[in-house]
Amino acid sequence: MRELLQKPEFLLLLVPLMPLIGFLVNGFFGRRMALASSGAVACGSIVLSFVIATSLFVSLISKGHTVQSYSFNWMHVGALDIHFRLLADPLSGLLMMVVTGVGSLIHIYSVGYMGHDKAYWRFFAYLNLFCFAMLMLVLGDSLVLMFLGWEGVGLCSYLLIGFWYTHKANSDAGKKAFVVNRVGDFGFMLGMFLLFWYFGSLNYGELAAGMREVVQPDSTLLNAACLCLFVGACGKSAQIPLYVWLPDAMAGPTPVSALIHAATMVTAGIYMIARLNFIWVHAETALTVVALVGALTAFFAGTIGLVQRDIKKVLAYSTVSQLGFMFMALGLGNFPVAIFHLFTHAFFKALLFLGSGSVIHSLEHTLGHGNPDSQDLFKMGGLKHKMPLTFATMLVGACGLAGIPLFSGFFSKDAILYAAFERQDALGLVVYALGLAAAVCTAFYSFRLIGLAFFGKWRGLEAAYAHADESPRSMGMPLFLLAIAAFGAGYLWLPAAFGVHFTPFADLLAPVWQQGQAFLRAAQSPLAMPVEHSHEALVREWVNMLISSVVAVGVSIFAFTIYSKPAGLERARKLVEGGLGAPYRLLLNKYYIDEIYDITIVRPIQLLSDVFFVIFDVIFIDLMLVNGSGLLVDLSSKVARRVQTGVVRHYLFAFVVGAALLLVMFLAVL
Amino acid sequence: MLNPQMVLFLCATLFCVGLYGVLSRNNLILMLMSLELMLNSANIALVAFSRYWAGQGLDAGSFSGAHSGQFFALMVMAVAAAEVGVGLAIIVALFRKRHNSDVRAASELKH
Repeated sequence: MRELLQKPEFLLLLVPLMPLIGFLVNGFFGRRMALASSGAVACGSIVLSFVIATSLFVSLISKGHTVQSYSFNWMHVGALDIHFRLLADPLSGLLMMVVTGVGSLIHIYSVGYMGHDKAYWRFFAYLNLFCFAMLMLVLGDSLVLMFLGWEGVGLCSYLLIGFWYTHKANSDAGKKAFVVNRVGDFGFMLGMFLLFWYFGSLNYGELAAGMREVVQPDSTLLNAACLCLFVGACGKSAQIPLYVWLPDAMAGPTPVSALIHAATMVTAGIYMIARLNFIWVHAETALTVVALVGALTAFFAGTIGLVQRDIKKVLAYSTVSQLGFMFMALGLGNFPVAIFHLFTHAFFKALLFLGSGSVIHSLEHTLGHGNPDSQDLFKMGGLKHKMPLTFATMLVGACGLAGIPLFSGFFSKDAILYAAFERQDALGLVVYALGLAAAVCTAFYSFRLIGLAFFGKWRGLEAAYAHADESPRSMGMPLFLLAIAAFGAGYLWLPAAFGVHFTPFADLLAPVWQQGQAFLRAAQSPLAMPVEHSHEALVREWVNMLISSVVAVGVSIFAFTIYSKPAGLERARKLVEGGLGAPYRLLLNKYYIDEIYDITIVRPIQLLSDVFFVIFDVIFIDLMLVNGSGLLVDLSSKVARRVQTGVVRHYLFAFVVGAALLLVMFLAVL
Repeated sequence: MLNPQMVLFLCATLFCVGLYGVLSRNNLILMLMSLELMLNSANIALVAFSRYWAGQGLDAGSFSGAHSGQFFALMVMAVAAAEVGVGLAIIVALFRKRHNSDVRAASELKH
């Protein structure tokens, strides 16, 4: 046993296995277990998984090679031979750390947050199952295993969004997320089929080998496959046009929003593209689409976030917008920067969600569970006196999100904008402009949130403010740790312009991009990432950094001065009621996108299903098949029953006639 | 040696008489008697063929040999006796209920 526990092949299997065991224990026995033991099993399993993951990751960094688990033959059908094997290379290892690390903190936070819930054990069972599925998605060594996890996290997302299913709105939101994700999953499958058709395998290693062997790749097919995969990424990572489920997903408990809908699951699309970067570099058209969709989403969602009243909705649109930033970076061919933003975003957005959860939790004490007032920013104010730790940590998160210099978001977002800036062509210009506009929105809504919630005068029910209190320690500790990570994560990759060469993050991931970049450099493609920074490039980076710093700080101060004081709030209200009324309403109603989807897609489909319901269900099956066969039996028996007269002689006669007929037939055959 | 054709003719006549009796009588006792007539016509045929095959020199030891017809006739008698036993019991039961043995009266078992 001890020998086995020292083998990385075995330890890697334990990483996803731990949450699975936690899920099984809580799922089968949780109902009968005490609250404390149910929480302990869930937290213990994921923390243990984190410890194992850390030991693997340390050896991965120090020895510099990838870790593969034992391999099992999973499916063998014709030419398709799928092995079940986990793979921790720098990219998946990093994501494994994020999933288990942030996951552990959120599990611990949930112990406090969900403490009053009746279905405590069910929540933890789902949360463990999610961690298992997410780890499968990240660690699987083939697209098939990724798809397994991909569907698993979708299921858990559905289950957790509709966790409080007694309210119809919540279960509707879950259903919406599931259906929209199915659209994306269909694209993902088509992409997988195309890749399998072309390469005959779905294993990353074999795909990479296949890509090396192909002399003249069929770029049309690769573009098509990549675009199909991108449809899947759009669904999972909430990009235009499939982003609509994510804001509604806020119906779930706040820890779920933090873990699934901010830090981990929604980044699956980014991970998938980064994972397959050696294929994507051959699909320039698809990359352009990714960059444009990402930039548009970043800007579009950012503007909606400007006016939302619900504290979680602001963060939800902000997540959509930040995911757009990541896709921008991917589309520009700068994969590591996208992963860097994914990394920092996981911390500061999880922190912001948990902070907002802490606010909601303390207000719900008085306002009652599920009361929308407990999430309404305009019914908050002045909470910094009541909840100093929540305020301080959320301020760190907001600074990170807004891109205030020296906070983590500044480093990662700036790197993305700089990548667009460096492109120096039409695409780069468009992406840069949209990205900068989105950054303006980001800074604005971040500090609008801080100003509205924590400063000024309390605007809600007096009793709620009187009883508002700092959350329990099990919630405060994760906030504190996440705040440290949210501040420090950016320092793992300092920009070249700083003059200090400190890039452990980029160095770690470098082997992942090697094959794709080698191709791009050989082809002298503009997509290739720069290796060395010329003097002019450094100057441009400084200029870019200056622009975004000024924008971030300026807009943040502007938003803060408006929303932190009653007078500014009054001015804003007048402005909205007056000249800016029309655009305000447009944004408040989210560009009426939900309504447009309702009219163009949901209603026609409902109409079509009603028609099919009447034609097939009511008429064909119910009327013709079910009642029809009954009627047929009824009618025919009405005729046939006349044969049964009850008179013995009739039967005898029929018997004799039958015997005679048989005799005749027998003789005829002879 | 009896002409087998003549015997068969006798059998057929007896059978048809029995059949006619079964189909035309209303009294259950008479119907039962007609049934016996049909069975016995078959018995005569069996015995006659047994005799006929024996005359043809077929070995008595083989299964389809001369005596099997006679055994069959014995079997038929046994079955007929059982059948009469059951039939008479039914008739007695019916008679106790209705005080007659008319087959037309017993026609409730319909639809």
